[in-house]
Amino acid sequence: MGNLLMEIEAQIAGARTAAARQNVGSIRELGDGVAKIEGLTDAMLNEMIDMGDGVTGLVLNLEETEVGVIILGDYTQLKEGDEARTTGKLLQVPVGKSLLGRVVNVLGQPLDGKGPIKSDITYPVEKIAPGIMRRRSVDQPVQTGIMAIDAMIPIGRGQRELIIGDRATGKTAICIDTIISQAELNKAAEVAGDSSYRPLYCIYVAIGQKQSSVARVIAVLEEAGAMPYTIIVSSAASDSAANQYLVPFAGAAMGEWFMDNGMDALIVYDDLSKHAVAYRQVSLVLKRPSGREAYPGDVFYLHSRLLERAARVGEKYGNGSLTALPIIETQAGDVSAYVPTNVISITDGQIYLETDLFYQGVRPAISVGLSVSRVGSAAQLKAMKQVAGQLKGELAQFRELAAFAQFGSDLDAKTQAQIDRGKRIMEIFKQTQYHPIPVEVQVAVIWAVQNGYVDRVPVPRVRAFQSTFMDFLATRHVELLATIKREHTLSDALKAELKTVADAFTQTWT
Amino acid sequence: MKINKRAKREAEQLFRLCLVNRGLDENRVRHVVQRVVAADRRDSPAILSHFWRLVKLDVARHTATIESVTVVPADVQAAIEAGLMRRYGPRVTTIFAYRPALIAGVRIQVGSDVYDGSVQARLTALQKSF
Amino acid sequence: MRPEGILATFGVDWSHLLAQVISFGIVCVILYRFAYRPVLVMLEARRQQIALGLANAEQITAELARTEAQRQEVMVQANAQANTLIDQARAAAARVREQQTQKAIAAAEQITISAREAAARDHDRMLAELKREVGRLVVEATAAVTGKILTSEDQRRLAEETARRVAA
Repeated sequence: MGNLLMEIEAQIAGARTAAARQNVGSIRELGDGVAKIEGLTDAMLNEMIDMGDGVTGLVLNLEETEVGVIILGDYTQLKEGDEARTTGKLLQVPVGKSLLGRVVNVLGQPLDGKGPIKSDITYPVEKIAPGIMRRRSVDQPVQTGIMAIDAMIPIGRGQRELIIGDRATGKTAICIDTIISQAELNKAAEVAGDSSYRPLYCIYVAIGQKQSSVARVIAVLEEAGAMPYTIIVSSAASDSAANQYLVPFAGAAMGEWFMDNGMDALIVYDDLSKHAVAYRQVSLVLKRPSGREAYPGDVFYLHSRLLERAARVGEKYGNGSLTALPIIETQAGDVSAYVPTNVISITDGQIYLETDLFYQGVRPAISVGLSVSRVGSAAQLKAMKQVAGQLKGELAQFRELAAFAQFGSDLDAKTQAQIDRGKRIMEIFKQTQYHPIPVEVQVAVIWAVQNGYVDRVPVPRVRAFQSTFMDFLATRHVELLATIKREHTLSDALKAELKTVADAFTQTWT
Repeated sequence: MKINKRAKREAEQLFRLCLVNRGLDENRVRHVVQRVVAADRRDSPAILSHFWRLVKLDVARHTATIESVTVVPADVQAAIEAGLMRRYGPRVTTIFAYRPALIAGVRIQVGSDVYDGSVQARLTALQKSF
Repeated sequence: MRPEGILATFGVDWSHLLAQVISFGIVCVILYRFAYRPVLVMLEARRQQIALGLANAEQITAELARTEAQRQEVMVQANAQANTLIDQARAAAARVREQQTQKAIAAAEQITISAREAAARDHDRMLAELKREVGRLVVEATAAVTGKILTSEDQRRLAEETARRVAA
């Protein structure tokens, strides 16, 4: 109580100094979340405007006689003629570790009812991306826990990997699995006291999503114990288009704090198609000229400046990294539409999800042929490179031969063997949702496949074989897994040990 | 009223014609208004409406409204006027108004610039800081 | 007696004897070739068979002994393996139990922490509200009172301050 009184007295004392010169304007026109304000002669672009009653606006249009301001907040309380004043500040959000485990909106205000965010550091929402000299090449892996990705389309820390596909193909599921996998790795490193492991914090930005979807994501992450390492920034479909337009930049600002302070972060933008639509709405209401598909002319710049902020910076410039997983939803598999082609050209690779594969039962429905990671094996563990190096080629050959197999013609032994192996590899890559697989287990499983231990198992039983094998490894051969994890590479001794273990397992498996 | 671009451009041209020595000439303004009304074109209302807005904004930029609770002493008035003239040029006209809500002190508004030294402003700022 | 007489007494006649010897010889030869030799061969074969059988029997006994030894070995190995399996299973079970206990402890701790945090949050919120109310009261009081207290000197001073800021 004593503290409280002192605080109040200090604030009263501080009120003695009068305010300096202010710049004001009055609202001339108001509608659709956009206000045209007359006056405000000193307003700068992207400056925050105080509209009164705690409502903030953002200056987007500077014209000769008036200023176009988008309202971030409840604009139903504003009227024509209301006074608005400049704040002299760019739009900023609170950043820092105090945001971990919280659900916030675009201004950093909490939405989860767990009290105010205590943070003294704020970062500007719009910031120039790190320049060329500040960057460093990507060579640390992001273990997503999804075998198909970690083996064939590996993602590195500091990379931008686009996840693109039709609706309901599992795009968000891949990102949630990645977040859960990172949380498990972070927890394991904490428990083991491993200081050489750099934890990866995750930020999930929900742009225009249904509130029920966001609630489901939060529930899944809480159940998996991933919330203490995650920030959720949400601007649901019921929020104004201005909020939806700004929320990915707010998330990027929070990620940049981690990057600038020697930590690694992963940010998921779910999804950028809705972001482009929100920006289109804001631009049309501001009467900016529209172009192809009614998108404004700078929709490419919108996404490029957002995604360029994800990078790996050098040691002198923060020694951290920000990995971005943007999501784009295509219509009827059309990746040659305007916004998808834009984002494909900006990112360092894409993971392409197909509806056909999804309904055939291949989940995650990753099309290995069309997916690519331009960072590739530079960001892969050496052990994984050793076992998975040829997988992509083998699957490509399998896909070609599978067409022949459909006709049921007589095939020579070699072709038949390739087809059988291919089918089994496809089975191995099917994975249950929310069950990420640690990288050492992945290495062991793929090694077993590449060395023929699965060839004698009938295709419908391959998954049972795989899950029993993984249990077997996890319960009876923990040290082997720990050694693989520690050494990062498969020495001959490890390979021999793997052989013994696999032999022992196949003998007892029926 | 929808003011299209052509009407806006014409209104801006007319406004620039009324500027003499970087100041607005009242006679010219009246003359322009009469001529536009006489011409009676279809977009005359639109032109006039935008012209009126430009004139209004210019006038506001050069009018200083000084609100206070008590009568401002003469020497302080002079000081204020001198300061305003130095900052905004000689064309500034000053209007003194009475506004009891200020409680004490003086509030000066020139266009969009506001110099608020009133007690009410300080109290509002204090309350917001809580 | 003369030798011939002995022979004649015993009925031995040279020609008959010779004939008989020859006949006997022929019979012997015939018997030898058609009866004696095959029988011998057969006997030889039978002897060999018996010898083989005996040798086999020895081998079989040896095999049997070896198999028995192997069976013993396998039993011992299986026993050992079973023991290892049981040990591994026990270790795994102990690990799982440990994990579950840790999880339960962590969950319990989490509940305590959340409860404490919730209490702290409520406290903070009440303090903030209190501060706001106090602020509001202060401002209202000042607003109500100031107008009456301030003298014309104070008004002048305030006006001068603003004039200075405009001029600056």
